[in-house]
Amino acid sequence: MRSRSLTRFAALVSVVAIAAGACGGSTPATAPPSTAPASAPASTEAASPSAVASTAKPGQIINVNGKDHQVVRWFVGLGSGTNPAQIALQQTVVNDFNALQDKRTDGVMPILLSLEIVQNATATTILKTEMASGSAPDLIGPVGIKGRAGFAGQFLDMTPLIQKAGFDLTQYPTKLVDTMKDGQTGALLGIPYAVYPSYIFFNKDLFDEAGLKYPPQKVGDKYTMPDGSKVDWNWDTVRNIAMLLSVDKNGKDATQAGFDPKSQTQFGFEFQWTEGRRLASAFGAGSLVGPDGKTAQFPDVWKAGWQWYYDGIWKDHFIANDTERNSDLLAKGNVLSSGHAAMGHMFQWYICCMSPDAAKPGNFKKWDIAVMPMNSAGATTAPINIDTFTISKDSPVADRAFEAMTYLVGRLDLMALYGGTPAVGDQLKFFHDVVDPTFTKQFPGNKVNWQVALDMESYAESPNHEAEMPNYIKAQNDYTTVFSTLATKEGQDLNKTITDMVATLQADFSAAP
Amino acid sequence: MIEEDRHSIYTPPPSTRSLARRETLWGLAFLSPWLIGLVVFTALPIVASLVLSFTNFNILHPESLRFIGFDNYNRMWNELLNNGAVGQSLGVTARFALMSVPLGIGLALGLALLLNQKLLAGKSFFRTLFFMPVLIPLVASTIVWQGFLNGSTGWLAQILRAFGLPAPDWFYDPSWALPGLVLLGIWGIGNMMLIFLAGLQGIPTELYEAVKVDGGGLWARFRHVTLPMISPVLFYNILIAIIGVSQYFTQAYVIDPGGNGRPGGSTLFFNMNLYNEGWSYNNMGYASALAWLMLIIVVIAALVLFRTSARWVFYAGAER
Repeated sequence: MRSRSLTRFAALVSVVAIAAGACGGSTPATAPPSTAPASAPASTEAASPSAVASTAKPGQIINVNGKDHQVVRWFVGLGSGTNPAQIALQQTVVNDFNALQDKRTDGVMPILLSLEIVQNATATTILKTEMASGSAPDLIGPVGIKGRAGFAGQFLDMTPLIQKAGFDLTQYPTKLVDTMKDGQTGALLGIPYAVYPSYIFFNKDLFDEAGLKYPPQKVGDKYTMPDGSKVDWNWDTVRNIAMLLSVDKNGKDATQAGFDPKSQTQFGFEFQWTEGRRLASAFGAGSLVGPDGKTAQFPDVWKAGWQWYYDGIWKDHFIANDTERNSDLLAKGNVLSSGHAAMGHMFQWYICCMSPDAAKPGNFKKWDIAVMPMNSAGATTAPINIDTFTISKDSPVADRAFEAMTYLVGRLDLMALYGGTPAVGDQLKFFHDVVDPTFTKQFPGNKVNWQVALDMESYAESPNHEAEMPNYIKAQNDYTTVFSTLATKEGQDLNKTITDMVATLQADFSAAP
Repeated sequence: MIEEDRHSIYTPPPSTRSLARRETLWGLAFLSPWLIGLVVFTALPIVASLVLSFTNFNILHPESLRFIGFDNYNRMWNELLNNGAVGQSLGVTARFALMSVPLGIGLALGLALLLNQKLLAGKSFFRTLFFMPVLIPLVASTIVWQGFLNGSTGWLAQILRAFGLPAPDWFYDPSWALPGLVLLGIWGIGNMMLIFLAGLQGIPTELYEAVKVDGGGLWARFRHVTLPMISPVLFYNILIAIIGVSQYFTQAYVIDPGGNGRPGGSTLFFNMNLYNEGWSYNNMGYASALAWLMLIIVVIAALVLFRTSARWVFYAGAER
């Protein structure tokens, strides 16, 4: 009888264990959520911080090696930070920060920074799930305007934290600070962290091979054509030299009779990892929404940009269509790194991916950067991305998250690997001291004129191409669907395509909550 | 005495009854992990999604949750009539089903017939070969196929060009994107093929001999013996294929992680639209309504199949 009871008990325990296992991972049962260190009677014993922190609850206090730590969860994935090198450095930064915290002697409970990295494709979904389940991370970033757009109302207004910490916001250009504000509420969602100016990349090897002069590196400088004439550095000029740099398998360029666009081995231009508004803004600042904040529009200068791109693919054949772009020849979309593209519009963040392997030489030897071309009105515009760290509005330890954030923004090695430029300080020194060394193995001996990047910051577009618009994600999806056809569908009436798209956008804006 | 015996036969003694009850309890105890999982992870979410489909549930603003009656269903109906995202995504899914289901079933059956031939050498090898793609994760196989089907440098394009044939742009051409996904799906028909093969191997050889004796040829044997005898398997595979199409998502999402159904919305499957509504636009209530629409469509398709099955599915030994 006793034996039967024991068997029954053992079976029931097994069943409960299996059911618990089937229901997913367990969380430390002895660590209640806490909003204030003083009110946390219990804590979790843990052998190593990394073993427990990823399952920590908001505001949880964890005991590590006999000492209570305040967990601050840092979520990475909405923007930069998910390639292997970045993941490794982020973990190192976290370890460094935690080690420093362990040494603090001011009597304040040390922070245990916990890193959660999610691949970009699923980051939005996972973060929303965590927020909906009341388990939002404390610190989120780096994230840009577009990345945070789907989370309206979920991030903390940092103004009180910034004031409390005595952080001087006046050191930042007002334009940059304004991009950190919520478009609807005006709440300050972060401090400008990493700035990513954009400019023209050019592959010196291919220019030398074609016997062409390099593009200008100062705004206003002329370009010297092969016949010796000096012309404005504008998009027409870019088209003309890009066609000379587009070559088929027989060695003919796109300006020559008998050029075969079906067997191209080299392309004159690429908008590296672009999208509709980003590309259009290279031709001039604009917005999809009118001044009243609710009327859909598509500025003429953007139309000209889309037309230039479309003709470049299907008529003049100096830009790859999507099939060519995603081929092995063009490194499956990482076109500029392939060595088969002569020029391209790139953002600073692209330095992450200039070659397939950061530890080995790239597919070409020499490259440099040039200024953005002028549009037909003679204006130079350089789209810009700006990343920041945000804090979840539900974080019970927002002040501690802010403290951790101030450490992260000070790690220039991390910023360099993100591909960013510090929003303030000696940026050129940063390029020479921090960015250049990252290229020594990929492009030994190559020298980049980073002053161009800094100059381009002065030509940043306003409004920013990622600026807020009603029903942001839906509108973005709708124009992206249309934009995707530009590189996949030949023979379109672009005016009609754009008119139809504006009607769709108007419906999106009108349906905005 | 006889009454007593009968009584003893039909009414188990207390010890037997208690044994039966104990065995039932033990059975339930061992089933309970599955039962708990079924209730918690399947039944409750189904009920929850039905309830949510009548609300304005926004995943980031659960505090503003309220009951909105049939508003979500009205919106869905309008989008269907006006060729909005619902109509468009249903069209894509229907086109895909019309291409992939008959082609997949036909090829799986054809392969099974080939592998069922007595004279074929290396049957086990071929079975393994055809089944192996099923074991490869969908994401990995989709990425491989993206490279294989690239219209510029992909192997298929190079083979076609070697024969002087034009190479489609597959996933980068709105007209070819769906056929490209159908092709990708065909690679994974090994499971269906195995089920057909099992059905084929269960057909008594006497039936074929009888047809032979009657002077029937290959077609007659297939038409009058094979097809009727495997009709339950065929029925099962068609049903599973339709359900599979209704759940189609991963491959299309890998090709376009942005969820726009690129190029030009040509791969905007119903579930991509559902995903966008729920996760991109945060409209979980509306996404739940969409999920129920798909359930209703699948149930109707299944009912039609079941209703027509009496005419074409033959169950050996069953009453007609």
